[in-house]
Amino acid sequence: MFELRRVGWADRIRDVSLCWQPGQRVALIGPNGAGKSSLLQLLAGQQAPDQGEVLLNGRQLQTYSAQAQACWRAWLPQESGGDVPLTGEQLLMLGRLPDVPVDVARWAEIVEVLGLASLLARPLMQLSGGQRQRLQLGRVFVQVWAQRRNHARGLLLDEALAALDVRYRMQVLAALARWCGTGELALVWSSHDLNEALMHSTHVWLMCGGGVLAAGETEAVMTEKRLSEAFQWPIERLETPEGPVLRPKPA
Amino acid sequence: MHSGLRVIVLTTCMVAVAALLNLLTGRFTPAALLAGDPLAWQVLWQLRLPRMLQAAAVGGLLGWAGMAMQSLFRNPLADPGLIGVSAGAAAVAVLGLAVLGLQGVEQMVAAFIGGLAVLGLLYRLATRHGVTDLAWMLLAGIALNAVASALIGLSLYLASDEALRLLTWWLLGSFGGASLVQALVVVGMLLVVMLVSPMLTRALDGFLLGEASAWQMGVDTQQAKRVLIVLTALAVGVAVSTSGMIGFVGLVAPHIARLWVGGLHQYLAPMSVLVGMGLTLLADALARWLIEPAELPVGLLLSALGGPFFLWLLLRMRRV
Repeated sequence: MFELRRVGWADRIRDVSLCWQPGQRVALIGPNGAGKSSLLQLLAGQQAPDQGEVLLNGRQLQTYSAQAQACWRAWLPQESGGDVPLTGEQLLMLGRLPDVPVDVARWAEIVEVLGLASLLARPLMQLSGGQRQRLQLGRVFVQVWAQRRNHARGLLLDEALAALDVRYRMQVLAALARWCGTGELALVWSSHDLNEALMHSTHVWLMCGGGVLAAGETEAVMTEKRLSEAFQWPIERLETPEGPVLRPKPA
Repeated sequence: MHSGLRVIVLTTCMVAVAALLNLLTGRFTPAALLAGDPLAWQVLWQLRLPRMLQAAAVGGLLGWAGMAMQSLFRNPLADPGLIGVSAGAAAVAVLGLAVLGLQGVEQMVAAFIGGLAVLGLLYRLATRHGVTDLAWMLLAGIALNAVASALIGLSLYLASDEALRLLTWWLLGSFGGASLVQALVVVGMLLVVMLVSPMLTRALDGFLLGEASAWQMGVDTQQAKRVLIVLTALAVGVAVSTSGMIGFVGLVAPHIARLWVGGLHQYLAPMSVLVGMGLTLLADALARWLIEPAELPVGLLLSALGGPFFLWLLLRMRRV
């Protein structure tokens, strides 16, 4: 669906080539300043690359209008302030594209997954940061599902799960796996939690210094050696009965 | 009926009452009108009606401009008067009058250019990487306000005695100079704003969440920003060039509107216009009634009331 060909942008992204298909759950990992947010900005079409091209269905992304892009992907940037004079429900409804009704069952599912029932009627100003973040996630979920035409779409989350407590993080990750499993959704989410990336992704893009160090299926990318090299810290992989666990060595 | 719509209908009725009150305030009382005094009726048609129309439309324009700027800057404290847009419009208009003798439509154009220059510059200065910085905007606005004030002072210094009196009255803000033609220009501008405004609803809602979020929602942010900035500068330019510096309506009207219909612009935009209209209509009536038969400059009155309101707003924000 989305494809990056030798993309460069300012001094933030260097010569990145990637392919992103429906059904994939891609964990975007890398040290601070590796270019994760910039890469998501490029995929979201907010920035045009200086070199190379970003393609959507084989066509340059910039040739799509803002409205058309919003039908193909939703994006939750890191800074999406919640201090606005709206109620939870009003914020959620902003995810709806103009003149597109929201499927009742889907709406109920989103409310359930994020535990929003008790937040809908409340003003955002009164909510905690984590509660606001759940509503913001709900807003982009609504955007992903409230579509007129039934094609696959992308979801870009920029460290969007970090502020969630364990219960909602698990519920959201499970829902995302379910949605991607049907091939209707493609997900890229950036995270600093390596075990979350290891357990819940089908693919991993490991970034470092504006470039992609490795991209591919999770097991192939997340090796001890590569991770230790990227993060410049020894990381070991422990095999437990419940599956592998990544553990940074104590200082 | 949706509650937002109900509030708008109700407010429209209240604005109509305020307009009637405005029309009936003055030396010629309703009794004189009922008695069929021809002079009273002449005053009503030729003086009070244009004045009432101009007051209402200017209030509506300022209310809309305040609402647009508060969304664009993601800042509930943005107001054309506070951050130098009105002063910029006034400075160029006054300078035009003092130096080139500009009047009427030419002066309106000058005011529009002044407002646009300040607003455009402010947005450029305060925005980096698509994020508009709140503190930056206020500080840059204060700086531009100072420059505009200096220009206004310079024009006053250069002006002849005769022009000076006109300028001073105008700077204080008043609907006293209203004529039917002028009133119709302002009303026409308000109609343009109200016709374009519904097309900007989604952009205004999106900007509440920040520029990146507006883009991802499918809003063409660059185009929406351009339209918003030009329309705001036009609204402020027309308001300032016809009625002088009328402060705080742009700040206060959207806040009152938000208390009643919430933050979504489908209702907030028309509501800000209505509340602005009501405010200026009542303030103008009050300005004529307080020291009858003389009158206070309405801008002075609104600043006297708006200042404390602004403080109350700040205190309330600190508490939340």
